[in-house]
Amino acid sequence: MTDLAATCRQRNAAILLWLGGLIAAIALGLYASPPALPPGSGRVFPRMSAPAPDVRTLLYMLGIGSIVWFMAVVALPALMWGARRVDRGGNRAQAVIIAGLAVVTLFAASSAIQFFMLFRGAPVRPSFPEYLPAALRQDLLPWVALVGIVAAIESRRRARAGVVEHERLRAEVAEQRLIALTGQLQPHFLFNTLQGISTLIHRDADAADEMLSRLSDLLRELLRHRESGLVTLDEEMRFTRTFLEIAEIRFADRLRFDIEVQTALERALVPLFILQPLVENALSHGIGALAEGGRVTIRASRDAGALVLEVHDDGTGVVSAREGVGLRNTRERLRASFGDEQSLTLSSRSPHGTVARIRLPWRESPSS
Amino acid sequence: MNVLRVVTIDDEPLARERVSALARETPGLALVGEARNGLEALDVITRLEPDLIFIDVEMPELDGFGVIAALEVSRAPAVVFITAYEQYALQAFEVDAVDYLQKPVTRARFAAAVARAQDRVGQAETQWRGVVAGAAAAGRARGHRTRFVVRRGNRHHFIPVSHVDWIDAADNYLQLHVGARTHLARGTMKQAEDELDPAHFLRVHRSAIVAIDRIATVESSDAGTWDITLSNGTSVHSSRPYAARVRELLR
Repeated sequence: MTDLAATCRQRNAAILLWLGGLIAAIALGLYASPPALPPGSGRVFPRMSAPAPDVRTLLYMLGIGSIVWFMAVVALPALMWGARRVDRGGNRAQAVIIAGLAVVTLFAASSAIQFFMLFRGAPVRPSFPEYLPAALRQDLLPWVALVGIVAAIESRRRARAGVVEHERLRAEVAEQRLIALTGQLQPHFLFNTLQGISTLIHRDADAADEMLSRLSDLLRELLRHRESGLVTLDEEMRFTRTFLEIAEIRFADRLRFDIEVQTALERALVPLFILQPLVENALSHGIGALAEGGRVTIRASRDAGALVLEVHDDGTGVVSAREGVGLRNTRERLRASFGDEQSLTLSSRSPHGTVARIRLPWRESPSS
Repeated sequence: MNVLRVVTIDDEPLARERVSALARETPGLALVGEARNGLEALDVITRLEPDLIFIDVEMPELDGFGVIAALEVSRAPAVVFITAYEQYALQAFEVDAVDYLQKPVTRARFAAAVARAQDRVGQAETQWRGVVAGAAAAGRARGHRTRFVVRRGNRHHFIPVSHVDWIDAADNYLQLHVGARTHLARGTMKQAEDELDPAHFLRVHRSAIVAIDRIATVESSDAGTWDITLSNGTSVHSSRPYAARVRELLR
């Protein structure tokens, strides 16, 4: 509000200043006496070689010369308005005509004022149409300058608007893709969990209950964060824990897991559910194939300006066999959020097992 | 009516448990085996030669389609695919399966699949060719082949394509030459040519495909054919219809 008021005050002051200037210019022109010009010479201003004019003549010339500049200022908004609409299709012709009419009208007005002041009381005066070509020659500079200024301002505005629009579109596309990818709470996982619940109903109703409740937690989290692309590491780990608890039931005692995250890292920002495909990979490629089961360890650490997230498993999975849809989506999501400032690597652990490692630029959620 | 011998295959223990339980309680079915991944499935099916298999499509390493494409059995089983996610169902029909089940599997839907299987078990042999070809096509649709599945006794193994020096044909099998060893894999030269990455493998003869990076020398022989020597000393001849491809290699 205060900004708006300040802008209004500034504009009013500018208008007053301008009006005052215009009145002063006309008054000057009227007060000062016209220099003795050879009648019908067609030249408004004396040549430079002419004898030095006196102060009154100078003031007179200043007044007359100023008129056209003031008029140009009046024409500026009309020209700007026209320029802005020139490439918007539809009313293009209309815009050009209106801006053109404004310019012509103001030119005529300034010429008329000059004409009146110039030939006031002169014994011989040309008719107004006869004077116009001379006025055109004299006033060409202000009008050309005006058009130049308008063109410069407009092209600058367009360039900036173009950049802004481009950025906006880019963000929008990235956002859309993010939402689409997040929506993929891997269906494979979802339906296998439902199958698990269905199986447990026949064997162990309490376990089925437990699994159903964990799945509900997961879906609630998903719905809650649907709108936001980034969550705190704390939230992400809560989600991952729920995910692993469901997997524990799915794998029936063959899965053990650890989550090692220092409290200091909890407010780091990460893309929502970014660990899910990596964990799922560790389970199906790493642990799932082992009769005796295995261990999954989730680790987070800070390395200078980066957050490092790791998913370890001690399975036998082949690194190359893991580059499935899940990983591809994860890479794409990381790129959409962080450009080239991120990486996702898979490597083998000795004696056996695999580590998936994500590096992200460190960002922190403001304390709430 | 004969009792159908059933094998269930799923990497998800709970999913396998349910399907096996349904198989046990269904009259006319006898559960004879279970497998928890693709390679194990090949072993179990080869050893037990079941009449009917329930196989999960989505399994790590070797998926349900991969198992079917690699399977060599004298008696073809009827195949019911199980899928967590609908998009695979269509492919399952393309591979001419008896039926497909979506997770979670219900008793009624399971019974319907069994009924279809009982109708079709008699004609399983004629269906089988279509099932195998369809499964191979489904595998191809997912990119170049990265490995072969070979059988040694009752065990199945992966042979990465990068280990293969060259391949020649033997009836309906491929002989994969890996160093000093030779493995038999199911498939035809045409299939192998289609499935392998043309950047790494070149068919030089009606019955020979060579790994391009194993080629040591290429000499032109008479009548526009080529003598190819591999880095391990093996010599392979190109035949005229494939000569142009060898020539292209030299450019």
